[in-house]
Amino acid sequence: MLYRADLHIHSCLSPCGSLDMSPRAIVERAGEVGVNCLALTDHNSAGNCAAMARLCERAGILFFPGLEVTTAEEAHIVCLFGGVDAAAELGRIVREALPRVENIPEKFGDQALVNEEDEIEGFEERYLGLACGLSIDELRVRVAALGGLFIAAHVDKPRFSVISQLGFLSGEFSAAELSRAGAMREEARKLTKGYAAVSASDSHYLHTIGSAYVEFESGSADIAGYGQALQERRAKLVIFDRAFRTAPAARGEA
Amino acid sequence: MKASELAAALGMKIVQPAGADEEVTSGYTSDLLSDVMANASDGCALITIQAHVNTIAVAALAGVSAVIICNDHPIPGDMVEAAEREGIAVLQTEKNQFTASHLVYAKIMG
Repeated sequence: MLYRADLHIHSCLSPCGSLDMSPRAIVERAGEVGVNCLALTDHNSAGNCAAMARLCERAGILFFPGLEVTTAEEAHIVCLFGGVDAAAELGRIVREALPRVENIPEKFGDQALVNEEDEIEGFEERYLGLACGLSIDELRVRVAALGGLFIAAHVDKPRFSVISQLGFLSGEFSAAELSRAGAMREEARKLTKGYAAVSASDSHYLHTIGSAYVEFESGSADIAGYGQALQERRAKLVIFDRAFRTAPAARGEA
Repeated sequence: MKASELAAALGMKIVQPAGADEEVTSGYTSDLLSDVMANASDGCALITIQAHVNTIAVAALAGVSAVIICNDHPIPGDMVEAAEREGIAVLQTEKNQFTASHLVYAKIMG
């Protein structure tokens, strides 16, 4: 089966995510633009993954629950898992390692926990926008123990990337992710040398979902299939320009 | 000393003036926001090259009075807007963190 996978998306749980980004709205939008594989990667939390998993199952979308963790070096790492329990476990570990700073919703945005029906069930009170105490190496060990994929996020960005914080990419990563803009630049693509290159929309708003994704073939509808595609460098980058608004299929581009 | 007076005395550009009347009572130099969060003191000028919106979020949480962006790093619009909302003046200088820290120290503590 051919998967179109947008594997870096923020819901309304992320302080910077739009309140429109409910799990239900994300899944609906993904369906509209022909994305059939999704990950939810809120900053330092997997709190909306369970609802998203149920919605994806109903919609026939392959789902990888995940988190975008801010490490002690202030590098963003996308961690993807095969099941909600593993993502939730990393969520607990990361929350424990976050500074005990309360969110101020009027300054940083609500951190809303939302169910399948678009109902707000609560708010994450700890501010998720800060770095946790785990280093990249410590996080890598935790993610590996939970069987997850460990992806250096938007390595081309001048901030919050492994390269911006540490100067270069080294050590084991399942993949190196390029931002949508970076994936269009030859110079930026070189940064992923030696690693499987991926890209994703890093959506904080509904209209950008599916504006960048990877295509891969897999016989198994699970994260192992994606992991294998990465190892074999079979994940193909599909990037759209700024004008992206409508389904690729509708525009005859895919 | 007010942030606006500091800017005038040191020839720094005021990119975002809201909050420039706030008193700057000390300085803190760091490019790691988690470190700023943990160690910057109330009323300080934050001297950094981290020119982005998260710097303002952290500055607000830590009680920073003004942010001084070094090496003339370009300051994005969303950072200016956030700083305006928070009333945290944003200054810009072509000097690096070492030199800017020395100048601010000499002015405030000297």
